Amino acid sequence: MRLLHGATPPEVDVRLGRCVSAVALRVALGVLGGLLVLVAFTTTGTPPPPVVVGGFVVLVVATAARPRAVLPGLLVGLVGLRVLLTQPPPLVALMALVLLVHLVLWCAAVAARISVRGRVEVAVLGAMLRDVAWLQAGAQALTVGAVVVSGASLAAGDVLRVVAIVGAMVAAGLVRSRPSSAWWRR
Amino acid sequence: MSPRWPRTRASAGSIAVGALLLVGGALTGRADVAVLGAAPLVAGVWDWRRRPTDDVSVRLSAADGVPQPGRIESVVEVAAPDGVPGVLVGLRRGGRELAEVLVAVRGTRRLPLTVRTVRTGLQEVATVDAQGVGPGAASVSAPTRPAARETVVLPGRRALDAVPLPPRLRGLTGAHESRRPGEGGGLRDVHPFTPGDRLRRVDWRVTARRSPDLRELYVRREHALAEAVVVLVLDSRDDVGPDPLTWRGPVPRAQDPTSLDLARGAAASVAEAYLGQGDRVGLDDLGTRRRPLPPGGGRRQLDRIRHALAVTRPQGEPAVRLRAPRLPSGALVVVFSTFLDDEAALAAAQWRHLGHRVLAVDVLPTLHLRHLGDRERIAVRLISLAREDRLADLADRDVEVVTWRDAPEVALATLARQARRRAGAWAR
Repeated sequence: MRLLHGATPPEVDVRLGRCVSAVALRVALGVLGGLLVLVAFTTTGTPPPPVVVGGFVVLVVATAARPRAVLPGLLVGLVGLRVLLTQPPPLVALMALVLLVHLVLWCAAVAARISVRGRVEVAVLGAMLRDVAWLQAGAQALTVGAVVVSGASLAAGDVLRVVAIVGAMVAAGLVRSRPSSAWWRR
Repeated sequence: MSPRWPRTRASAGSIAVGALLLVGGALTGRADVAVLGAAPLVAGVWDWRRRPTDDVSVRLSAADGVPQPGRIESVVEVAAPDGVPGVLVGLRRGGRELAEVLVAVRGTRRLPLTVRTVRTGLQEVATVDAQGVGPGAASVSAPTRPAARETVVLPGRRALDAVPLPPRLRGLTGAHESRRPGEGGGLRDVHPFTPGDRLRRVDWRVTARRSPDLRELYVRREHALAEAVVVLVLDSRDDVGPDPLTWRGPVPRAQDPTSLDLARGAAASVAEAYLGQGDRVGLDDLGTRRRPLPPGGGRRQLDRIRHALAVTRPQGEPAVRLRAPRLPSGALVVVFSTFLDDEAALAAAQWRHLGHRVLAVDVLPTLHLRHLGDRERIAVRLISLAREDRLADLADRDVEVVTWRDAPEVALATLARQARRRAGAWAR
């Protein structure tokens, strides 16, 4: 890393692969939490009062600041309660919610392992995201099945979106799963 | 069989909230709510079942090459069982957390580590520990035992052009002219030939002028060459940094050289300057009662001195000396001290009283005072006043004082020139 003029180089330097800082990870967690709340509150039911919005903003910020506590679970639980108390969301919104719930809980679990001053290698996140992608492929298919079973009809656009999202999940899982040695070299 | 890694609280929370959503959705007949909890629940259970059992290990080893002042290279070797996506590696130094990284490890991985420090001598490179993070960050291993490593960093050297000489030189070889007649030096006088004089020393021009009939021969006599004996005396009782708040507490930062670092560097530089011109240099320590390194010459002696300087450090409460250590007669004494108390100054004064030429090198670093409170400022001011009085008293006793933090090569060259200009004071 190139240092600014006059900046003091760090006392200890470990040579790693590409890294992201723990702060960036927590910011990503906050963004994912914010998206989760946004999707849950804009796609179903009536707009919430400002007090509720403010409370969720505080909860999202607190989740990003202290992912080690029970706050991520509380955030997801409250979003689930919101969905439960309103009409079922449209299929695309529900698929987004399924994805965001999983990503928020996974990102919080990773961010909870490392302090704010730490760094995470991108290879670690890639290996973990591969598992997330495989699971999401099944979860999205389950979501479509659940919507069909519950009697809601699927529009032509919905089918295309479902195929696209599930295809993206499978592609991500395949791309991220890099064997230690290629099959043609075995 | 080793027990599986313990589960993390975040993972338990994910499974709990996933199960809650699944059960809540099932009980209320809301499939859309139930599917929200499906992925976290399945992921949590899957990650739990894949928890590793073997331990993670970490080792800190030296990199190839000799550690240089300023940079210490090492290698952190991390080993993890299969299926572990990452290992959390923490690095500490001097009791301070300096780095924490979550790295990908497949089997074994070597991480090059660079420590930047201006400190010299025996020191801790780093203390490393590791903790494995299981799939999905759902489990963690027990932290490994801290792996630490120490190394000896030899003091750096600064080029010194001219250095003062002692009042008396010794031996019949060396780089300096002595007062004694001999060979190798400049012209001493022209003297009538006596038995024992070499014929090739006959100066035929002088002989032809003074004794045209060749009744007497005249020979040219030269000064003999000689070497200086220099004893470096290190005061290792103090190791204080530029921040007075660290003088009785925490370790100074790695970027701040302490008084002992400056003393090591100064002594190594002076030793190299004298040894480079063929003189003999020895080393003694005011802080310990051990056999001094006797004066010697050559490259090996410089290596011995640098190593002895590197392993010197404060060792408990030093015993009070009743008199200054005995030194070779006629030796130049160079005392490296902070002069924060009277002992080094008293020893320097005693050596000067015994006829040695004594150089007092002040190695107290430039103090950082901006962040101090009023009480600390007053305390530092009082200590500084006492120290200045002590150094002024030394100067009154004809001990030459050099401050190492302010261009010492200029001060030493000035002292060397002054000694030559003084009538009869140049070393002969």
